[in-house]
Amino acid sequence: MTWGLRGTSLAIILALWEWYGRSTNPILFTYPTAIAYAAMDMLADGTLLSALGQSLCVLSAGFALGTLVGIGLGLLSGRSQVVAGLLDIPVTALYATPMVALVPILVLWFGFGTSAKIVVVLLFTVFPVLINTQRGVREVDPRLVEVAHAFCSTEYRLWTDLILPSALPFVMTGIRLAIGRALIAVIVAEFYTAISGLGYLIVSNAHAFQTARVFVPIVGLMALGVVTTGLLEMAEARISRWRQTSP
Amino acid sequence: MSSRTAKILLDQIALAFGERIILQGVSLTLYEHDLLCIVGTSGSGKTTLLRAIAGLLPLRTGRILLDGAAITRPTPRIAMIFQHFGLFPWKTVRANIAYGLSVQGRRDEDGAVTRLLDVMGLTEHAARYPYELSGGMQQRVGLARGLAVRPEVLLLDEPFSAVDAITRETLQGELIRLWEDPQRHRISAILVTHDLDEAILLGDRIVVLGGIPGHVRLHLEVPIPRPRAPRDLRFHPTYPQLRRQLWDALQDDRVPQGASDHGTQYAEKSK
Repeated sequence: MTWGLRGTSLAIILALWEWYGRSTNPILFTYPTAIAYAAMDMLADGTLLSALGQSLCVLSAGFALGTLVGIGLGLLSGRSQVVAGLLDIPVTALYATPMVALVPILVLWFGFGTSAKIVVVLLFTVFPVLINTQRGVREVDPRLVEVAHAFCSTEYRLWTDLILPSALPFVMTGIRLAIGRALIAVIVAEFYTAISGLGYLIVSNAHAFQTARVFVPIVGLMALGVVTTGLLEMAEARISRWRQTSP
Repeated sequence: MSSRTAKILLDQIALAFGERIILQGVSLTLYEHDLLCIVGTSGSGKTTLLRAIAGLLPLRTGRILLDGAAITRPTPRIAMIFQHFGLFPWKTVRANIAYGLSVQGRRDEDGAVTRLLDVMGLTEHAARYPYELSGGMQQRVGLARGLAVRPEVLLLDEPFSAVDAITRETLQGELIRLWEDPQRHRISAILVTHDLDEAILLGDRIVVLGGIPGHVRLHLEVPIPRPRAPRDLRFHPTYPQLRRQLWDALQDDRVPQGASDHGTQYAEKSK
């Protein structure tokens, strides 16, 4: 049912795009089949795969680091009032700041290379994960904490039996929000530091008025977002079998 | 009765949340294989008292002794059954029942978990999660979890108040059966309830808590012999008078604030 609806909506969008796109100036706009041909060309000459490789490298390293740091700090600040107090203002301030504004400073600190790009992705992803994890830990049912204490639980067992399983759905929500932000971060990083990867393909092809080729990395990014979100949802359903609301 | 050995002794205890004193001057004894019911209106501090006996709350004054040694923190010798069941939603029925044993680092040597699944009629549901069970079944899991650790003392905090009336009677019947079964490990229990019939049906003795701060208003023995059956309870000749006494003791809470000295006199009489 859901898959049928998803397929239908995708087919309608592609059909309308194809129909309208063919009637426009190919420098200003394009259409799905033209993008598909351009993608095949770019696969054949190797530019697409090498660019995708560069971008995925930055994306996965930054995303993994951001998620780990976010979960770690989130768990600590959720359980300890001291850590929460220390992190409160810096986290709120940085979360509210448009991260793009920080990129020139990050370039000063980390240069134009891969490490700067990874830091950009890390900064984009860390806050949604941190804030959601912290909330998850705080939402632990105090009545269950009392049950654990009544049965003489150690602090370690309190974490494994209660805090981690109870915070997990919140952590997953944070990670899901972080995926979208990580994709933004990769492109921002590739535009504003040493240009590379999918960002390079977008800029160079736009300058050459190769509009169909500009859309290849964009559609690629969209597909990446859809696939990773889908995989995450599958993982979420697996670990949340105990929840009444799970699909 | 006084020749029986005391399992738990409450000696002039007072409990407070910050400046607010919840209980004052409470002394009680729980004997070996004794079932003591504590009744009181909402806010009389009966749940607070139970949490203190479980070692979950610090005392303001007085002491609570288990076999003569002070209880200052939770001990594996005491198990608690919660009004809200307190099951872990991400653990299966079997894992919930085994929780107490596992968290105390004990092995399930004699297959207690499997046996309790059977006793509670939960064997078919062993792999299910709590949200898939009715309230009555969830409390059976809660009871089984408490019994699995083979406690010497069981503390029951309004265990049947969150289930419907019919399920409640079934569960009460099961508790009586477990209690009266001579084959079983003999435990002592304190049951907190606001249901007078439940207290008369289950208790060897009943204590009424009331007043601000809460104190013991009335302390009586239930002369109805065991085995008891829920359906015959009301026809026992002593039932009307027992219920009347309990009712009157609870009614004192309706007395206006100015007359609260009256309640203190009651407490002194009951000592």
